[in-house]
Amino acid sequence: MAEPVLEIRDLVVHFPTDDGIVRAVDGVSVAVRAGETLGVVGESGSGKSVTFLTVMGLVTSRQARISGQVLYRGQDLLALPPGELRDVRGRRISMIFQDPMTSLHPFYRVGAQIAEAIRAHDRVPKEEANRRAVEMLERVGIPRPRERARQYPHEFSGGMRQRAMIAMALALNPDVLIADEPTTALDVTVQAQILDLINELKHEFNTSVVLITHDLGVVAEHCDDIMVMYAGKAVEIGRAEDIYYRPHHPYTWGLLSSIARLDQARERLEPIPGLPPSLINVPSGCAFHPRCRYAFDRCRTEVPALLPADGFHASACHLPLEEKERIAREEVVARGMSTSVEPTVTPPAEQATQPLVRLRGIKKYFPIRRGIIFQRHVGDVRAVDGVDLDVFPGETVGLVGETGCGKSTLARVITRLHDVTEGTVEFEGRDITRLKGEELRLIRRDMQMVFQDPYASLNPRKTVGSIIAEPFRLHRTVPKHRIADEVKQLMELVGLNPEHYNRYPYEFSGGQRQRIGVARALALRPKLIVCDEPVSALDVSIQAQILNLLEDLQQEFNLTYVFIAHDLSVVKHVSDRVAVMYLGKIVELAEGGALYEHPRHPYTGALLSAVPIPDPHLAATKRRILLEGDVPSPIDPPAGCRFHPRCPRSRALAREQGLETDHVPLCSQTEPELVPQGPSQLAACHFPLEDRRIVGESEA
Amino acid sequence: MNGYVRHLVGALVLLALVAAACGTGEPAPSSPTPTGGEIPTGGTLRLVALDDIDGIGTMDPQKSYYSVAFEFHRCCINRTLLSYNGKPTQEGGTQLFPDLAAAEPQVNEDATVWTFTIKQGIRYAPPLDEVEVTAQDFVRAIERVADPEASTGGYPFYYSPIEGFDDFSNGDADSISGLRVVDDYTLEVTFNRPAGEGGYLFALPASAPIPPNPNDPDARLGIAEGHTKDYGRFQVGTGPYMFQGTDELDFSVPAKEQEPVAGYVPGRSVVLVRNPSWDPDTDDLRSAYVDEIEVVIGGAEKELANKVDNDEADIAIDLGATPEQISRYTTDPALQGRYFNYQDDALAYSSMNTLVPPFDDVHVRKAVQWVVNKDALRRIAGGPETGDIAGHVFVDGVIGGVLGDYDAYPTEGGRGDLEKAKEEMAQSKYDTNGDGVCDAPECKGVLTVSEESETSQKAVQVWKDSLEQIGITLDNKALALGAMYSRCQDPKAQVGFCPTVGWGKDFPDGITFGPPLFGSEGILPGCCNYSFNGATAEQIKEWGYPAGTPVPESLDERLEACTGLVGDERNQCWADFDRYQMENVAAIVPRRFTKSSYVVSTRVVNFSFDQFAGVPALDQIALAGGGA
Amino acid sequence: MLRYLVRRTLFMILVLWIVSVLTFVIFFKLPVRDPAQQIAGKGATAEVIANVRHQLGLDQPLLEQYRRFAKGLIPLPGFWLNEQVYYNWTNRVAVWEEMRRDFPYTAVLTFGAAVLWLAIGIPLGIISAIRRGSVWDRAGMVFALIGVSAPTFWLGFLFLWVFHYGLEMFPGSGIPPQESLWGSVLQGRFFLPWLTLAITSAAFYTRMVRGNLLETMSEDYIRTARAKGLSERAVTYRHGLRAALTPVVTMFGLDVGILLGGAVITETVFNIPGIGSYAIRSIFQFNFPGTMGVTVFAAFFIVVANLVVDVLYAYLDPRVRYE
Repeated sequence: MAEPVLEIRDLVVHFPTDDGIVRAVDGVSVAVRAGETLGVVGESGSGKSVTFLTVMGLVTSRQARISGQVLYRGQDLLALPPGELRDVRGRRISMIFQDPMTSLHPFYRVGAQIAEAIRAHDRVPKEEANRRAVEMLERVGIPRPRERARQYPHEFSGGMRQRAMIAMALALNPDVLIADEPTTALDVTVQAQILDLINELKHEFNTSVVLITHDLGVVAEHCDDIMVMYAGKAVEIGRAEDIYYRPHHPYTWGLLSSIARLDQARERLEPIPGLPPSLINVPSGCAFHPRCRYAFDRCRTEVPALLPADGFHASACHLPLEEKERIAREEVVARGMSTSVEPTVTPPAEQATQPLVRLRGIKKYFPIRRGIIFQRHVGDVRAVDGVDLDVFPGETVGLVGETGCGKSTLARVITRLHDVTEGTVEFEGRDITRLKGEELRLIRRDMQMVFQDPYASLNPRKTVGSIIAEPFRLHRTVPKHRIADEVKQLMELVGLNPEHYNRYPYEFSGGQRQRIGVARALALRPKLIVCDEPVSALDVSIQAQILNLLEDLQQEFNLTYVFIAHDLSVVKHVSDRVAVMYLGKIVELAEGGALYEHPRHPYTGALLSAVPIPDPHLAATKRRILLEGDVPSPIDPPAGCRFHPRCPRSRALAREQGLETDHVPLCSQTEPELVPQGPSQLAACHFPLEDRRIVGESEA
Repeated sequence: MNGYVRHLVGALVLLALVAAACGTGEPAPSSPTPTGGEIPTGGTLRLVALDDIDGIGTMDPQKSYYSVAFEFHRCCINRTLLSYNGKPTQEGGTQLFPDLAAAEPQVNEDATVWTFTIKQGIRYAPPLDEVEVTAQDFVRAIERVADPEASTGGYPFYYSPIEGFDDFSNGDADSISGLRVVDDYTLEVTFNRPAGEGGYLFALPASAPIPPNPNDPDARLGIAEGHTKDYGRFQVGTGPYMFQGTDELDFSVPAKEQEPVAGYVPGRSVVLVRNPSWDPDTDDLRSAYVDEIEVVIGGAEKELANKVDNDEADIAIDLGATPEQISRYTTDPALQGRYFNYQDDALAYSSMNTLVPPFDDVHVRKAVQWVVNKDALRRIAGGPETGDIAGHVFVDGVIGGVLGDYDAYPTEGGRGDLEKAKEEMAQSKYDTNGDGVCDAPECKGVLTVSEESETSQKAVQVWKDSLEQIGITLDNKALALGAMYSRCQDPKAQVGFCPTVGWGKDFPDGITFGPPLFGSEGILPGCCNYSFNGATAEQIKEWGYPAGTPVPESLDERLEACTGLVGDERNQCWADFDRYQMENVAAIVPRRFTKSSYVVSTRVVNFSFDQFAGVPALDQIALAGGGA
Repeated sequence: MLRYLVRRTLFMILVLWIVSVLTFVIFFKLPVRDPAQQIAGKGATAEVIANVRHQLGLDQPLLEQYRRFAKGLIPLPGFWLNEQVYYNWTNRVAVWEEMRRDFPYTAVLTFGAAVLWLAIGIPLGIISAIRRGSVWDRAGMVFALIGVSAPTFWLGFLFLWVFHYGLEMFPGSGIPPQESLWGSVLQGRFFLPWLTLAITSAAFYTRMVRGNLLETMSEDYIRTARAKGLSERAVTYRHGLRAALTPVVTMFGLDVGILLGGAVITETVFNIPGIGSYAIRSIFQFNFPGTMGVTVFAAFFIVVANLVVDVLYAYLDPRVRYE
């Protein structure tokens, strides 16, 4: 094992606030080894970011009470005077952040921002710094780096921005790179690119990496060591294999079982019950005990120490070691390992019945106008560009695709929040495309939406009771005096305490707010609920709770869902059928199992290959197709197959056939139709992937 | 008259703000004589003004119609054939003296022909210091008064009795036949009716001579040719002062290209310097002690008052004393020497519309005269410093004080007499049961228009209380000052009662009170007959009054009877007219003969009040130590 | 950018036109009194009034009258506030001449005050934000509260009272007629007006800078800057202030634009013969051409200020640059 570069010893960070002391970090000790990656995992508020912001000196003694040591090559950073610490920061240890959108200064050119970092530590002339900035941009895979260096952050896509951040962080060849949730805000395809890039650079520069994430799936492939944090403490530390195959802490078990996994058949998730604790009133004893299935008396009174089980692997749990190993083997890992690839496909018998929603030739264009006074119509953003889709009663149709593929627009077209540009929307066999006024209002009762950001979609000035009661008042389905009762019933139904009727949205956690959103959607007993990224903003453990709730409600009320997510694992977990969208079109539509097992469209294949798998061995064997570049503009989509400029298959075929062009002419000239590719699977591709050939093996 | 009313109203608004309690003292004794014998000369008199020195107009002698402007013309810039001595009434301030005229004018038997002889050797200010004043210059001035193009505003109606004036004005004649240049130093003026006021007309600024243009002798209007709108800044006069930069005027270029004087920036500032052409030996009326007079225009009232308090300015010329100053300066013995209070020959009154019931009944009007508490009204306005309680309309200054304390409806302390009021009311057709209280519906909610200020509204409340005792109630509309006047003046508005109006003289003659307030010529579009005496039956119908509205008595003949007279006879005639109208028409309730108060800086000595213009006499005022 | 400017300019003309129509309609359709009668004087005969009416063009159809006034709004020589129509009804002086005469005073007042309020407001805001919770911060916020809530005229009189009448440090209100503008400036006559005008704005800017800076300093990109190892000084001034001051530029441009159209209260209190005083006088004297001239003049500055601010903002904030 390599020597530690950075060692945190008994770090305590307490923030004094008006409400009490926030024990954000409460005695964490961990080491980052040279050239290796340390994964730090935990729910929001577990103290993982604060720990490393403190390491960087970004949490200062002015804001918090800090004790312990942060040893960098034997030198305690916490004891350094600010000037010297600044020299370490950015040069020896650098950091990248979750949201590249807001982490770059919007007013300065990207190149200048990188050069600034260089000049903060190396006294080099400006030209030299600029040259090195361009070099770094090139190194992190930004095309035309010279030009790009002169652009501003807003001219970069999300992925590009994160690359620029990485370029900035690595510009001085630091020993340690701390990446705080570097891919949470990014599409899965881009996430894969960024993680691979970090990995690659790590080897090239022999940098140690700290990868902070809430998603155990993400770190499986890239981490050597993993620290699991809960309520400001490390509850388990070990090599990656220890954590995935021999986890010893019930919290780690919980995290593993709440992940919707792509490599597993659809089955019920086992979320961690309850919510992460308040860091002001941390539960006595083991902070995790209120949520722990295995807790016993001792857990409630005595704080468990982080004890090594075998050499490096250590966990903080009172359970006897044998018991931990037994549970891990029998209840957690075994379950995870049972990779039953048998699709639990519901037979397409339902298709005989009439579809609940029937979309035909749906186009939704957002016009772009230009002109000095009289605005001319110069083009359209073709958000949805010709979609046919049937949604049958009682099923869940998943919609996936990268940002900007049109999935949210399609959802809004279904619920008539948008008028369509072309095509027809039928609901229960009735054409509702042009309904207006009272008729539309009546139809709306039967279709509801649940949105991504539960906080933004709830009026902060209204009590939860009145928010949930809104549909009643709007549609007058329930007499006034009965509304309160109905609301309370709904709250109970979605797992909220009805006594909280008079509270305001800010008094609830993210997961609870999403429950409020669900309750509101359910109020009118709709037939269809369109969920637009309902769990994207939530922690993994909470995600699982909401997904399970949706599933239960579907069975109870025979609901039909259209479920939109960019997270393929989640979509796979909940959906009977999945539609993959690309640039306003459905490129593949199939039963969930079939789609994931043998994708036909190269885009689907690429998407799937990009999804991280929470299993280090499996991940190591997986080969990944990295898509180049970003999604093209929907204003002027590519001719022929819209995917062809990024399509590895078309490129490979052209090469195989010895063509001069980059792509097969058929792909770049003729738009493929969505045609059956085997039983209950449709794909729009001239050269669909063949059966059983998982994920781009032919493109190597 | 506009100017006077402006001035009057300005003073009213200010004085009105005085707390009723402050009016403790008697008027401070005016002590215009400086300490020590010799009156010092020299220095710069620093004036401040709320507004331009000429409210509407351009300091154009033919158009100025505002008290402060009248003073600047009289004291400083423009001499006229006859003029005043810049003193208060008791010191002869309302008498006419020869100025550019060599002697008193010769007037024929029936006052239709007035002959003026002109002093010789009077020269204009530079650059026209070679040009001597001759008779033709006065003809030029009167022709400019008559010229409808040149003379927007002003007071041409006063000159309309000059023979041929109207014909010239209408373009039917090339000259005014009543103006005859006998020789360079003799001007003969013929009127088409006996004109007792003739002398006053040649003491008004409009009659100030206009020099010919040496570079363009053919120009009919002399140097005023081409300055239709802006002669004020291009004028050249004969007074002791001139606008700074007058000597730089260049009349050799077309009017369009001439640069105006630097010493007068309308709305901002005035600088008067000595006119080198002025010869004190030719001028018995003006002392012209100071070397320069400057006026800074604009600012907040309080700030202007502060400046005078602090000796940073000598007089707030168009502001007078603020209520706060009045109370301070009248009570603090150390300050009393800096405070002056003068009768300003204006009347605060209330007017009843004789076409609107119940005021179409003379008994009701008389009842109103009896019942009003003038003392309470004055207390609200600010007490005795704001004027004396009035018993008639014609102020002393326009009739030589003939009427004295005459009051047609004398009551104890001016507080009203309910008994007498009820007696009158009982005789009216609107008191059906004869109990002295009006019981007819016509008495309820009489349309009343008043000025919107707090003081005026308090006064309206006093009126309401008084009138309620005889059964009259008011439906009061409070309006901005200008709107209030135009509403009262408009017969179609059928306003019954205007409690907060006022009127001031233009020159010391009853003609400036009689015809405008009581004659048919004072009815819209003339001014300011709000009781509509003299309206014809057709007019009444046209204005939309109900059929059967009685035609009020016309007083035109009685007014005309006075205009032909001269001297004491004339004053007596106006006084008789006033008695007659007070006792038989009774449409105007005189409230107060108003007074103006001024505070001056410690530098001011020899303060004097010009009774003609009704403002401090700038040519009489000197600065202690010559302003050093 | 050019396209954008052309569009904004056309928009500006539209705004000016609307302002002119509104001013016109308010004046002529809601008459408190007849301007002709007002100008002719109280004793005027029907003929005189008719004559005045004719001279002022008030006897023409409303549309024709508007056309006359509208012509004066065309910014070309011969049209722009042409003297035939745009002259002060009360003293017959051309409106452009009066405004040209008065504008330098307003400009000196505005720019002097602007320098002062920036000089007070920005440093105070920065100190308050950087030393949040310190004595400086609290003092700054007390100043801001007082400055924001004190009415301008009250402040003006207060300053006159204290600095002029009390301490006799500065000249009082009013400008002596024979003094040149620069003479007045050298005499310190503008100091109290500047201070009066500046205090209110400075207070506002203090609060704004403090608020913006505090908000900016909690932005992610500030954390990035710190993580780069920049000194706290560089972080605050290069990264924090740059973003925090950008909205201040907008505010500043608009404030200056509005004030150039006349600082009515301050000009009145200190009797500075600027556009604001002129506006007040025009309104009270029923001088419609003056009112119209000032209104359009003020609107012009506000619109131009908007334009300048837009351009400047685009220069300062690259995110809006190419739209």
